[in-house]
Amino acid sequence: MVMAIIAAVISCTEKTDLRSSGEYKEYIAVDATLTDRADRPQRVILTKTVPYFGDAEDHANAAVRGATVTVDDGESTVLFSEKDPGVYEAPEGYCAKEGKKYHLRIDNGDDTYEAEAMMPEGGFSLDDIDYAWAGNKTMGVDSLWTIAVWGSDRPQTSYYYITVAVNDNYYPFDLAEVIDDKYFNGNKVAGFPITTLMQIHDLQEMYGDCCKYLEEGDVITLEAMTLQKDYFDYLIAVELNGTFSSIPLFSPQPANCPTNIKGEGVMGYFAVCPTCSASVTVEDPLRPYYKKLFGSIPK
Amino acid sequence: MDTKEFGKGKAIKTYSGLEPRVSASLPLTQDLSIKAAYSRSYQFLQQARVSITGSPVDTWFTASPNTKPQISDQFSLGINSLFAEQALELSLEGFYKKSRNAIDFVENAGIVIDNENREGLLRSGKGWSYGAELMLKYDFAKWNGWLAYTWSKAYYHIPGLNGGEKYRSPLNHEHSINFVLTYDFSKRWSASGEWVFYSGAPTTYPVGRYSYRGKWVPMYSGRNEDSLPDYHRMDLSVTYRTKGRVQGKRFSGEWNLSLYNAYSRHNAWSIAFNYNRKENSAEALKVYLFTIIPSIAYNITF
Repeated sequence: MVMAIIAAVISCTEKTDLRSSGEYKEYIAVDATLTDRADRPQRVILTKTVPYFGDAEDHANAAVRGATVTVDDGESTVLFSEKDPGVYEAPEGYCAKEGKKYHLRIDNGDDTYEAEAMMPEGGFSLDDIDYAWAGNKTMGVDSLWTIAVWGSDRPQTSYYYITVAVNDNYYPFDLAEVIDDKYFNGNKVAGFPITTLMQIHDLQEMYGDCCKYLEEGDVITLEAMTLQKDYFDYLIAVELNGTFSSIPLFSPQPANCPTNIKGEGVMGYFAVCPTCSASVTVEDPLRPYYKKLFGSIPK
Repeated sequence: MDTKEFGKGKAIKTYSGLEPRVSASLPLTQDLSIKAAYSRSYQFLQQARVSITGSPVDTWFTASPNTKPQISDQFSLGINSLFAEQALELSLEGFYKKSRNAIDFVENAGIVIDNENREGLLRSGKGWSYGAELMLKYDFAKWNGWLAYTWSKAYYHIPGLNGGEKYRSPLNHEHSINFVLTYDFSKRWSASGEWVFYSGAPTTYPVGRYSYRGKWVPMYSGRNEDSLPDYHRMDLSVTYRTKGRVQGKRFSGEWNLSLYNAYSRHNAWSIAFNYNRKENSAEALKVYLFTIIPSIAYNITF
């Protein structure tokens, strides 16, 4: 372990033009997550994969257009229409219901892809959230706030995708958290610090308000999406093959992420998840405690 | 998942087997001989590579009810010749080794070093390797050492991994050269150098990518199908023996000054593939550990 730490500390990097000698084949990538939120658009995003070092033109042509996308819940079949290139949306107000199994079907002319996903029963019950300032200039993060939750966990082992937003500008996947409930399994939680809100100056230009320094009046929203175990495993695989691949010591053996989509030449995942959210308005960005837990502490 | 309890000191599982070894040498002339050997071995302790690159956190597994010992059969055939009044020895040897119960981690095993169920992430199957080594040893009055070249290939075929296809073992090194030279300037001063080269260290690079929830997800075409850049380095050292050491006294010592990686090559430890957010593009980064490392040591013999 000492050698591991020494290696991690003293290693250096430099750019190289190495490329894989493996054969690249174009696949269809499916990004489809339905939720029980009727106030949110329910989307299926279809793109073509691109060579790893593909250019802007590859990206511009990546959208899969003109596909027929339907979702069947056993009682009715809903047609998703293409709102933007490759982005297929359900009719307004459509959302997933608890305990139902959903069947996704994508007809791309020559090929058909299908997947099934079960909506988890229950889901995290989120009552409230609060924030506390946790410091600055740590590990590439300019400022840091912890976000605590009040609510109830499901009795069974649960898996969550936790993301935060500032003024409705949500964290990207890179900065969200995929966690299980080992610290509060089946219990009520009150003031449990579940995730962090990071102000990263370098990323603000790309990600907008979600990476900004908090100011009075900003609205923080936390969203908890309850995942089936297989979808949790998929998101962990995405995280490890992406973020962790740049840390050789701990990066796992590279491998294609699993998929639950049936068909030739397809990647990605179809999931259905109950989703809850709660918000808090920032009063004092430098408040170092949870007001909802401790009340007002005189300075 | 199930749990079984065993009494204190009770063997959970016992493996046993014979390890026959046969070797023969046939002198053709006084300076020329051929040799052949066969051996079977049981390996009760096996290592599985945890991460994309060999690292100190690679995990060792003892034989257990779930992990059988690796059983290997190795065959070799060689020819050996002496020249220059037996100061030069030239040998050529070929080998073939096949193994059962070779282990490797399942795909998408996650971070396994802190996973208490990591043995459940192992899969086992066949392994085999073959190759040939050409070696020249020299032992003259002032200088000695050896020059060796090895060509070899090593494969695994483990059901459930790499789509059921064979793939290169993490330990595969296709071409390997070792050159060692020691020169004695006097009884008290000597110098030595070593040059190491190998190619074909397996790794896996992404061939494509797709976007999921706004994140780049890499695609791969085959396990260990790419190779890290060729590795080579030179180590140099100079040794000064104290008077007592030369005279063979107890509690004598010697100074040693050495340079590891003398020409400071940036040998790749790993290649990391990243999404560069600022440039919105992919990049490959070579990760290397050491450049030149000088060291000085005083060795005491007693």
